[in-house]
Amino acid sequence: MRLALWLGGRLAGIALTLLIVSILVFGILYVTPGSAEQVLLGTRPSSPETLAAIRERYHLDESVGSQYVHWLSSAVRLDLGESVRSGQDISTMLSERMPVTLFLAAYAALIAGVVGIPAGLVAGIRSGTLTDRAITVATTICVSAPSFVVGFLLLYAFGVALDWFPNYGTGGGLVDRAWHLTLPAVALALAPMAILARQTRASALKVYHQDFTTFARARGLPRRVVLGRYALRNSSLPVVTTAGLVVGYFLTGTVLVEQVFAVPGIGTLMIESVSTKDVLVVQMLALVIALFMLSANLLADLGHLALDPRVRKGVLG
Amino acid sequence: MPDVDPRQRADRLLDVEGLTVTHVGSGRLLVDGIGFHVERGESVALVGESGSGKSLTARALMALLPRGLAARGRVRFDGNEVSAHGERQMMSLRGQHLGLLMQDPFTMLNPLTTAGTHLAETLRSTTEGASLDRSALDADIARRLEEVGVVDPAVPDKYPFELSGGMRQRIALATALAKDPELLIADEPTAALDTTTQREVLRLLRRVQREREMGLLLITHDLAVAFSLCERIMVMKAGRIVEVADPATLRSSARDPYTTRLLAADLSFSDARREPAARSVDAPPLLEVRNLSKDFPRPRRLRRAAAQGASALADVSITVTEGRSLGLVGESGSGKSTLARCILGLETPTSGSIRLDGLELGRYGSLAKAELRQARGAVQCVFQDPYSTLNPAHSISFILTEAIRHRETDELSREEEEQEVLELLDQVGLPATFAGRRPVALSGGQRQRVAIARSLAMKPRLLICDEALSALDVSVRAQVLDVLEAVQARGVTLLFITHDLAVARKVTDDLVVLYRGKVVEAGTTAEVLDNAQHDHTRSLLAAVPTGEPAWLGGR
Amino acid sequence: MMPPEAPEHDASAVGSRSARWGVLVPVCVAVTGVVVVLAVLGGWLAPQDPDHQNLLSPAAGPSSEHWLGTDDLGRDIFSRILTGTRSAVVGPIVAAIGVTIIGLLLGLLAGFHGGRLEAVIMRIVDLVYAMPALLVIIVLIGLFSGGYWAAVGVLVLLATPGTTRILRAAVLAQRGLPYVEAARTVGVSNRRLIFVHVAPNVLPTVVTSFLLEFVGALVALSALSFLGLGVPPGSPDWGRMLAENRGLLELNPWAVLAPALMLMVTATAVTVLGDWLYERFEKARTSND
Repeated sequence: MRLALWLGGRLAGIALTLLIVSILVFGILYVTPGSAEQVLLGTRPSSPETLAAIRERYHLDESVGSQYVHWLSSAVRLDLGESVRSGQDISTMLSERMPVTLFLAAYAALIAGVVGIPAGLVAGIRSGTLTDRAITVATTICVSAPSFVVGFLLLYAFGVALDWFPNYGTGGGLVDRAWHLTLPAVALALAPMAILARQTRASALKVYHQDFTTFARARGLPRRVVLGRYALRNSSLPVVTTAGLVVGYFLTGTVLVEQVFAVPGIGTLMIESVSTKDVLVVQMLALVIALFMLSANLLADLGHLALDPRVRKGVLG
Repeated sequence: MPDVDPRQRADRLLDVEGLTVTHVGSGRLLVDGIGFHVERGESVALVGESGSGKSLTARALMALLPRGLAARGRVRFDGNEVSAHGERQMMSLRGQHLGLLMQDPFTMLNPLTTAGTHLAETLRSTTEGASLDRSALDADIARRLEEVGVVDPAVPDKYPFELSGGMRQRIALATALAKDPELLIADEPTAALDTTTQREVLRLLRRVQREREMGLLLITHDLAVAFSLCERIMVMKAGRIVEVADPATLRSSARDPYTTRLLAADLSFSDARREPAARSVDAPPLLEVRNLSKDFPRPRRLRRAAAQGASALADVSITVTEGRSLGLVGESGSGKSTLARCILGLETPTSGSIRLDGLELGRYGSLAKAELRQARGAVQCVFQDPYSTLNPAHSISFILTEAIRHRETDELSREEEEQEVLELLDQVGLPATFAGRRPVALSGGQRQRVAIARSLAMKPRLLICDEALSALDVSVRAQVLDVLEAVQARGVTLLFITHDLAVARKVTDDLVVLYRGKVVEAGTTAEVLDNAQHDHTRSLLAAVPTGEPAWLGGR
Repeated sequence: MMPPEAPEHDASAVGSRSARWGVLVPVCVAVTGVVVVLAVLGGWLAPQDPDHQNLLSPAAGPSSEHWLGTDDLGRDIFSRILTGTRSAVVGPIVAAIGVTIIGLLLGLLAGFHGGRLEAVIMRIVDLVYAMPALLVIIVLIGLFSGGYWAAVGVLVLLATPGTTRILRAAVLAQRGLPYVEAARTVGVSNRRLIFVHVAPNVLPTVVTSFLLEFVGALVALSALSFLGLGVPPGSPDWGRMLAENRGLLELNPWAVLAPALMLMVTATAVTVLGDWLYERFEKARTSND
């Protein structure tokens, strides 16, 4: 019951934030240079009839407030309108482009988590050893490596010089797609992986020297329990906290990496639309991205709730 | 111990020979080739001040030294050489044969799992325990909690943060004993607890040890605790054991000069103030606190609540007479530090008045500039933690000069300032060379003396000492106490906040007992301590270690 | 009560701290120095005019005349790299300085004053902090066709909250310590408390966050120019070169690898310096001269 209440509160908060974001996003139309009609006309030939049709279609003769209401209500009904440039239906564009981006992001998240967390844990527990130093140096290099730059280096090394992976395209079928998207995913994963590893290392180092871990070892608990229930669980708290930010990173990163590898995803769509001033598409993309980030934060909060009894007590009483 | 029958030797529970602990990087010796033994069912104390190596000895025996430290020497447990054991063999020894109870109940338990899980995971890590079914396991957990005096059936489902310090230490003890070790190493098991809780936990420890006929190695800094709990005392200093004797012998005829010093520094509770107060009770008051209350709004975020830890005050009135030092005693959470902070203007009271030197200090914010300066000059404070009381970025002379400059309305010349810095250092017994040093180069006692000097630079009439001695070792404590007595002799009145009644008896003329934000007893120190009226005062008195076994009940 | 013994945790790491960094630090100092020198002198050091087109030798590989070959318009890659250092580095330096100054002021203000001011500052900071900065910049600069300095300006606005949070936390950690309260009871003014007492103790954090902000801005601005935003097309800029020479990966890979490596090496070197300086500062602050 308390959980439902809390969840309801959080969802309401998310809805409110989305509302604020939507106002900002709607404002994009008006801050874009040129009048609203011109922006919505795009490159189509201008004639009194087409302009009138646009005014009619987007309720431009009404007040800005009611324009916003019309805009928002059609967005909520998933009637997203058409691209100004291509005339394509925006929801079709999104549904065509979304899967490959989601695949890429999930693939990258998998790589980052599966490599980063254990690496950090090992480095933290064996601090001061050669393993630790190697991992620390590697993460220092990766943490500052811009994804698109890494993308080019990978593209040259494994796509051109060694020719192990394809240079472009997304492939069909799961395996083929994974094969096509491996280089982009690695490029995208590298920095978050390093961040995860560093953070896990720092907290594992702290946790492993804490009294409760020593006390656990002093009771002769098996290594599995000490590492899992003591070290890993306690070090995961700060890592979970940053999950929301990491998602933000993935979203930013995917725009650049898709561009490098010419992956036709949400990111390339974003760049195409921004550079052609296809405002309607940009608006919808911004809303989708905001939705993603807010959900990621909600998930991080839920993760905290599941892991930490203190937070649980604070929320659930 | 050269002439021991080898057979007897083999029968010893724990036998340590030539144990050294070295810092690998620097090669520094931290434990310097010590040897000792513990018989079956015997209780032995390893007593020493911080840095003596006593805790490292405990860690070395468990093979749980922090990284970067290495142990060497022979450790025989139950007749078997264990010093050559690898991690896997040590794992089967730990908990099962050798138990460890650590100092801080607030950090010893996994914050993410319940009390019951701690016991269950420990029980399950034995071969017999692994096959226990759920109900048998629960029954065993309940039985073991009962042994440590926990009968509330809700406790196993509680998380550490929901339990008090004493309760956590009981859970930790039950957990450390879950695999029925033959020897329990208890490393300062009560150092983080309030005095009344300390006594309960020590009692429990002794009862369990006797019932189980278990060996006990108690590591402590407190001679009185060691005397009442243990049959044999080993005194450790700078990595060596300097003396071994039973309590009675050690008390009457300690041979080692260090032991003698420790014994002398360990205040006996009957030590009254050396120099009685100059003024009588009827002299005009210097500080009058009337009906002071301070509420803390319930913090919205859980983390903040833990961080703040401030205690409320309810309708507190105290009077400090000029020239008569007042002691403020109470356990943690009694509000004694909150009161000090209100007087210093670091907290704003919810209601009530604080009159000092003709000024109303209840609202520091509304004082005029000159009044504020007067107030700052009238009352100063020495805080508890010597390690953060001085700004690490500045030198000692910078810190003292700053205080001097804030006292003087007219600017002093550079020479006058330097001269005064040296005088201040001299007053607290520090050589002039300290002026140029940074705080980090000073020991805890030296830092605390600089903090006193900084307060004296303001020429205060009232000096608040907020647990100023409690973070210091006993021998250092005695030195700082001497400095404070000298300060008193120079006419500064002390408001002495402490949880330690022996210290209170030694330095104060009047005493106020605070309990949960209320004054429960007040009077001259002798009256309150020798003829306590309130139950809480009595239980505080009963909690002062006497060094007699009877203190923990029975022989 | 005093913890009876506090052996330095991880004592071995303390002992081997200098060994841990090894040759990394001198190398990174050298790299950073070279980049700074190139940012100042790059244009003059360039052996050829970076914009001189030679359509007779497009996309040529390295030769004695063109050390790193040419791009598809026959422009000398090496000269373009040297000249491009300025636009790669100057904007980020300006951005990092702006972010650090504003962030420090806001952090001190929020951390020290508390109350309503802190609440307002942190509300705004949290809001902006949650935005994916680079995406917002892409949208704004893209739709407005804003230039390089507009991008730097927006970047400062979006990056300041991160620094503010870090510095506020550092200030808060100091504020509760007895030395601050002791200084307060002596009568030290708030301003002196902030600048003389607290500031030196948060200096390590300030320096580190300055360097990290520089790296962040370097990456963000070069990402923008890679996407065709900020700097005008055809200008010698590392990010721009990556985008424009993408098709040359097989003909003259250096046209892509050179700017990529420059970005990578600069970012890494400065990050390492940040980590190292932080450690040194921390050590100096807490040890005797």
